[in-house]
Amino acid sequence: MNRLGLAAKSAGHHWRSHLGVVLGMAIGTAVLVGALVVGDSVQASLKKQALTRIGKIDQVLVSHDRYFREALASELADENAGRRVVPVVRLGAVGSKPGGTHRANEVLVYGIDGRFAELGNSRFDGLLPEAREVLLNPELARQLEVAVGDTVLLRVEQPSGMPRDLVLATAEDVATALRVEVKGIVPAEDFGHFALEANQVPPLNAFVNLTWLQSQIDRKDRVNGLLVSQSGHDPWTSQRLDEALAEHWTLEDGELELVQSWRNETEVRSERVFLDAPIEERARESQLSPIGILTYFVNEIRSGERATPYSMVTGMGALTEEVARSQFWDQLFEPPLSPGQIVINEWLAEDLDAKVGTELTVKYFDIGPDRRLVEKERSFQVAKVVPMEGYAADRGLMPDFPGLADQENCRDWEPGIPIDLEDIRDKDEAYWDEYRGTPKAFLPLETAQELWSNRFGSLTAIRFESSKSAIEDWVTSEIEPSMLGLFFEDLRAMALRSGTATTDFGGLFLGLSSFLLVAAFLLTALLFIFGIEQRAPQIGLLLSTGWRSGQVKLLLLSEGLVLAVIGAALGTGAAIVYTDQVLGALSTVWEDAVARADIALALSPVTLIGGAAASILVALGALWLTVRRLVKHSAVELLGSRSGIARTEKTFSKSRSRAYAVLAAVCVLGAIGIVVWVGPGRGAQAAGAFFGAGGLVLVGGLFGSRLLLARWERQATPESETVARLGLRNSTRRPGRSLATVVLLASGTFLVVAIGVNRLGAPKDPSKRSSGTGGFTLLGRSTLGVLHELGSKEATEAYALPEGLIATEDVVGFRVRDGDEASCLNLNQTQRPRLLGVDPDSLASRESFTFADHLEAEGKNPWTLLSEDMGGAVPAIGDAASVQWALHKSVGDSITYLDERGRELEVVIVGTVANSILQGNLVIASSRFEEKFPSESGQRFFLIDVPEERAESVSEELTRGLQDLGLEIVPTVVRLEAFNSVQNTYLVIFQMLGGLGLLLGAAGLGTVVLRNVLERRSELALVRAVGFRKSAVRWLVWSEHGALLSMGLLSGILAALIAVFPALIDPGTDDPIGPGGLLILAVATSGALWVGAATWLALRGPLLQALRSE
Amino acid sequence: MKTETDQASAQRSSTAAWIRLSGVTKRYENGAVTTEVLKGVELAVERGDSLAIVGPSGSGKSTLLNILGGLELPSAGQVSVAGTDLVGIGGEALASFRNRSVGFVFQLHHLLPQCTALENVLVPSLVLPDRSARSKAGQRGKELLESVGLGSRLDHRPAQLSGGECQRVAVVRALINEPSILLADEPTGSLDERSADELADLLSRLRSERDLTLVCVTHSAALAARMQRSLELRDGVLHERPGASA
Repeated sequence: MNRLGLAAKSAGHHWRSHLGVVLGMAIGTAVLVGALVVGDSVQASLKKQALTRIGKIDQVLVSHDRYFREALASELADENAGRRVVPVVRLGAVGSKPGGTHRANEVLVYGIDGRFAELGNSRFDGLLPEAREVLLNPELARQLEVAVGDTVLLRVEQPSGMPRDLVLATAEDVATALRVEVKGIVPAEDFGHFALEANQVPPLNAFVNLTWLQSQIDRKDRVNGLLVSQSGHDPWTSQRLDEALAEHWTLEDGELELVQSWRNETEVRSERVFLDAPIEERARESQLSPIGILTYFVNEIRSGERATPYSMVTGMGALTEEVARSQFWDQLFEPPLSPGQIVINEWLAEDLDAKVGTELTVKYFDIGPDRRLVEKERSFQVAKVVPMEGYAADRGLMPDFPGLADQENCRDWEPGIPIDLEDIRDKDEAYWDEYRGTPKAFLPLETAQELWSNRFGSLTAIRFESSKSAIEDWVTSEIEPSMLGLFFEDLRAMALRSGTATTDFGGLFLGLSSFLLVAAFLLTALLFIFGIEQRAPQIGLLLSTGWRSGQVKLLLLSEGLVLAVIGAALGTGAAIVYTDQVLGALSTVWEDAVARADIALALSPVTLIGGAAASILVALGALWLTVRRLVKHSAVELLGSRSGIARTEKTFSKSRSRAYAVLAAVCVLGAIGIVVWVGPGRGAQAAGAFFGAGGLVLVGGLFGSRLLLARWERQATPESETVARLGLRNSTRRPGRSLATVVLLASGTFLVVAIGVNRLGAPKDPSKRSSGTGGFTLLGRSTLGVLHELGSKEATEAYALPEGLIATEDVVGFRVRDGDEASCLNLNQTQRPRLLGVDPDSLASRESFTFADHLEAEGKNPWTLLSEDMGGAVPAIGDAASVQWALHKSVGDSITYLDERGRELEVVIVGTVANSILQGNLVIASSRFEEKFPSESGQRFFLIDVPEERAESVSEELTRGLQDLGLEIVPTVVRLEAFNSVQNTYLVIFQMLGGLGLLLGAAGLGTVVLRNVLERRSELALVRAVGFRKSAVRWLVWSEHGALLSMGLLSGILAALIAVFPALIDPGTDDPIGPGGLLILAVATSGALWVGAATWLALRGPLLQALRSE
Repeated sequence: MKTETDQASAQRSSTAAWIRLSGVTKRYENGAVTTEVLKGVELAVERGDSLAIVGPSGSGKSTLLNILGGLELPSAGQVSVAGTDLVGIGGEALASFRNRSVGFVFQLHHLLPQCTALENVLVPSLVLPDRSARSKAGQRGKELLESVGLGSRLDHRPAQLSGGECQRVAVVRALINEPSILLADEPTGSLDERSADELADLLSRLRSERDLTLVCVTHSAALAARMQRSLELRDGVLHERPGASA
């Protein structure tokens, strides 16, 4: 026999008393390992989902509104190197069933061919859509309630050459309707869930024939996406693909064209009307003496009473110092014009009766944000009147304005802006017939750019005195495709990164189970020590025979280890069942916590063994603490004890009492200080304050309870002794045991009550602007951009809305750059959350939302921080929960995006708003948004402020009017509740697991009572012998343990109340006291039941027998 | 109240004593109340002697025995046992002293219920630092148990043994590490008369066979009579009991 053998024998011999220990250990292990397995399962499921959604795709190039040659795909592909490049057209759409009975917004339509199907992990089973056919994924089919053979209408975004946000672009025909027949349903595993963004919610995908789609949207042989799959030994990186793209790209891919001017100049122009800024920048750096041209459509040129309607005005100027001067140039701009001067042609001079020196007023629509039509005017003095020759007769100076350039007659014009055809005179028609869009006036380029530069560019053409081929070479070598928004991204890396959950669910469940774990291990330790205390004389014997205290501790711990290993083994087995149950709950009653994700059980030996080992270590730690105290007693004391060890602690001194009183007060005051200092709000700081303050009060309660025990112990007043007082004094006999019970109950009460209070309800007053709704009643999201400002006259007309339905000031519209959903409705790791662009003043003036945290705003509303100049960085504001939990960031941190040209864009979080409907997004100023993402046309996110009673009708009308754009409106309160439901589900889980812990805590109390009473059966028999009635004995036991129960409950409630004080005054919390009060009652009742049950159990049977056995 | 004669007598041959106590006092403090149990005890015991300490309950006999065995330390005075000065040697050294130099027999046998008789006997040997000594202990345990008439009970657990047998196992346990001193605290206190006589015989036999110094605290006059010397602890000091002799 050796010492370990002795330990094993002891463990075996005392198995009955150890049963509870093994059970406690098994519960602890099951909870701990279970939590880790939940984490593993979430992680594995997300990774699987991520890989299912991207199939074999490694890199992607997706251009939002720029269409390039489909042939690029084959030029970049290399079968021998295992590199496949698949072209696709990807368009946002609104799906519906004919008759409009079922609709689906935010549908993605992909134009595909056989090459796409091969990218999936399995093929489309031979299903490939032909013309007028569609494959739907199950979610879309379900939402539209269609089956194979049914007809579906898809309104896809119609690509526009000119960005739709330009006032000159047509706002009509933004969508093209496709009537298609469902050929098949493509399940998730067959690539039906193909998606570029990491999102919890499956996409709504529709796959149509590529060639057919191209013809339908008038983009023959053009695509806007390339998907790259690489199976070779030496796969290309995104950077290498970008380089290859730069080698192969042509002007056509950049939607650029070269035309020969009447002077044999080579002109670079764009299908998009305005040239992208990088082209101008490169031209200004060139040695090619380029001339920049900016031609704009003005509403009127007036001289006194005479006015010429709808004309082209051109700004021209050298882009480099070296000017390509010619007689034609000199004719216009020599001597150079001063800023207030204008050159007009003879036709205009005659029409306006203008001469050199005449003052003219030019009226034009400003290219402001959101297509707001603001007519502006500028006065000029005529510097020259030029004949209709040279540049003054150059029709090519007018860019191909859609709706103008291709019209035979002025009266057929259909520009994006409202024009009054009545104003067009015969002579204007005659001018158009003879000169087309030849400009009637000329300005220096700087002046024109000052008036008409916009986020899409500040030139409509550049002319070079070089050959076409030379300029083509110059453009393709100087301009990189990424500058025009054509660049590859590593989709696989992003998918794998996003496949790691936003939240470490293992850690989260450990956190949620923390109290249950503490209770289980504390109970384990308590039961173990009860068992060991029974054997105190044996320990004494070992000490007396020369065992050192360390050796005895080791022996006892070895025994504990045997129990812990058995308990851990049982617990690990139970963990699998427990996890299965938790995952079952996560797919049913707790589905909100994982945003309805499909989570499958994933078991990893490392987790199981590691978790079991961790729980053994934790248990041994707890046992060590208790064994250490036991072996502090001398051998003589231990040998002399019969049932446990008598307390040998010295009497509580007065100075110690004072110190404890001071410590208790310091803890409580400290907690109050923390709460007052942090104030209301959510986020890491608030969570820290919650636990910090709660923990301090609990520690304070512990000191206070110890103090109380000491006071009761000192109260030796024989003349006024009562049964209850005797009971109280009994509780002081084993202060450690009593305090352990108090701690267990107090912390359990604290958690359960505090969590109840922290549950988020609907805001008390959603119309309050400080609430999570921002004071808005409705929230709208559209699939396609809404180009007209809602509430404006134009919008009312364009969308056939009732007059006076809403005013522009009722609506705050946001531009949207799609990204990852950063709300708690997405489990995936969010890397680049969706960006919203808003006019900061529209929220600042309303003082919408309550800020949880923000940078110094110098007394102004924090929304104005969005307009701050932060160098190259863009300030952003997000929802506090999204920023903290989904992004793992805080105020002052930044996130790197890629702007539309593939340049890195640093977005700095300057503020967070509490518990708001803005969850999932980062909001930046619309001016910055337009600068960085110029092609994102229209607004797609709306906050609408209408009185509650009109909300329904406004919602109905807007949804009806904008149904083609896929507008979906929900009450903000509903949206907020959807977000809150996630947090509330976590809280419910926490509360449930905490409740289980409290149950164990109450079981601990019951065990303590039972133990105390059993140990003192002879004493209780004695008081019976001296005449106490049974009820008096019960009261004796009750008063002792009721005191412990009360101390635990009171400490817990006090801790909870102080910690949740900020939540009580937070506008986002509703009726915080109600659930807490009920829970306190429940906890008190359960505690009382346990005490009662244990007392009954201990006192049943003939008590006086105990006296005889003594 | 001690007398010079008594103390001198108790201290006889102190220069060569195997056990020597000099001016040993023991006080217990409970709040403001101090109780002095031993008041300058002087004692000298030769190697191989047997000594009975008697006295009324609460007189401090067990305390004195605990001090001799290194289980408690005196409040003042010197304690030298088997050549070791026990005052101020530290917990580790005291444990080592208890393990190898003395053997304890208590009123209750304190056998581990989960272990057999032989395993119980071997418990003190489990912490011997010397591996070879540990390995030899098993054989010695068997021999010792056979020598006390328990050769057929080696694998029996305490619950399967009588009270007297249990106490004999406890005696063998005390001797397993071959100490030179055996300290017995009311060893017959919980035995019936016959078992008590048998145990007294056993203790006497073992003492003489193994040249043990035996100190026995007892209320039993019969047991005390078997000892060479008998001292009475009264009022915190030892008094030679007239007529007691080997």
